[in-house]
Amino acid sequence: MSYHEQLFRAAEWLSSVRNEDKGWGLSAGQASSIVNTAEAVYVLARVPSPVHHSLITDGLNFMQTKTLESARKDAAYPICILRPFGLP
Amino acid sequence: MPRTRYVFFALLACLEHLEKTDKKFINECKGWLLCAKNKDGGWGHVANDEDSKLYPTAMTLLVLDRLCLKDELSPGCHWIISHMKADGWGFSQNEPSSPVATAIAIVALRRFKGMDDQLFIKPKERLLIIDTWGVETEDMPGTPWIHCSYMWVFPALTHLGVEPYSKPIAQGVRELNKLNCKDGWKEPSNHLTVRGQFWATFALHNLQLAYDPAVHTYRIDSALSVSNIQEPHFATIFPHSKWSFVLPKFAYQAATYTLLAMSVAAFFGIHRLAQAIPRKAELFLAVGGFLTTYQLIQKRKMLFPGWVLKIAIGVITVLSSIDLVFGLSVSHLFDYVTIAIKRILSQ
Repeated sequence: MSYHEQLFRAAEWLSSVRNEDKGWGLSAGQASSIVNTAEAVYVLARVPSPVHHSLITDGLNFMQTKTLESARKDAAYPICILRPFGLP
Repeated sequence: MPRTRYVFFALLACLEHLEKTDKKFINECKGWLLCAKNKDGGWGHVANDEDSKLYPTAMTLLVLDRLCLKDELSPGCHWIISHMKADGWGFSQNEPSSPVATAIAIVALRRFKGMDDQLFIKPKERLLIIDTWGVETEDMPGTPWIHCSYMWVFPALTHLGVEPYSKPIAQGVRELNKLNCKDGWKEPSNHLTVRGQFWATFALHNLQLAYDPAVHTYRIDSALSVSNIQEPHFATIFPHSKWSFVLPKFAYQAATYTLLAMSVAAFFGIHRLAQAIPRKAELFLAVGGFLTTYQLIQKRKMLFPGWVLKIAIGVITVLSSIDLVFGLSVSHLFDYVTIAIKRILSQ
């Protein structure tokens, strides 16, 4: 079994365990997180096939939304940190 | 609040898909990370916590380096270097050095040119002892974080010039191959997780970047090969004819560039120099030359920058378009130019 064949299997598994919010958790059925979604997107990016492109796009959108939400939760955070995310 | 790892992981994934990512988001992440830096030049697990640690510092350097922020990153490099222990790095100042922390530091530092190679001698010796490789845990805010050895040790060793087929790496790949399952790769703890897939992919992708299929096919097939290591399956091995891998790198590059230059010359019309060559034969030679050049570059992609192929294809496209649209063959075009130059000179 070559690296690419194994990678394709991993991508198939990732597509089967994706959550409804289009992110990934640590394993099947676990809540989505930014880190696990980033890991999944990294793996899918290595697969030399366009089949998983929509999963990647959705995963990237999930990460962007969650990272922004995470930044907004802490209003007392130094201005310097919030400003890049468009917050006051 | 977003912890440092959330942002650098988001950026790590986005950088793989720049065309699909909102540029504003990348700039936001970049700005956030630069603002989150501690006064000592390193990064902590939480922004501005003034408790810099190796992992967030190294990961931040890795992702920001891809955004070409060299000047802003040098304090981070100095922070890592200043926290080196006798034979490597530890995850924090109070912890002893460990193989995974050492590998993470090497991967981050080797991205920056001008690093003193002496710095890496002892860490390299340490990483080559495979018995010490293993899973390590670091306490992070919110979770005990598991670091996997092969994810970091493979790229660290190849960055230090160790061949991907050397004994320690081959042994490591064999161990990694034991984690293969019908759904990809499991973790060493035998759990099937997204993280486990990421660890293996990161390790093998970095190994593949250091891998020259031609050279390694030679090593496997040749009777001269001294390697008795069972072949690790980490990359597809393409069939090669003998000459393509027996040639050393510089000779292979020289031969390919020469063929490319000759093909371009044929396309531009060498018949003006050697009248006996008909134009059709010349075009046939040129196209054959371009196709062969393409094959040669494809066989050993690592030896050539991508622009060589782009220029070759660009030349063919432009010249063919001129011929097609204006009915002006290249040889005629150059004949006209030659005549014009002669007239100017005669005046």
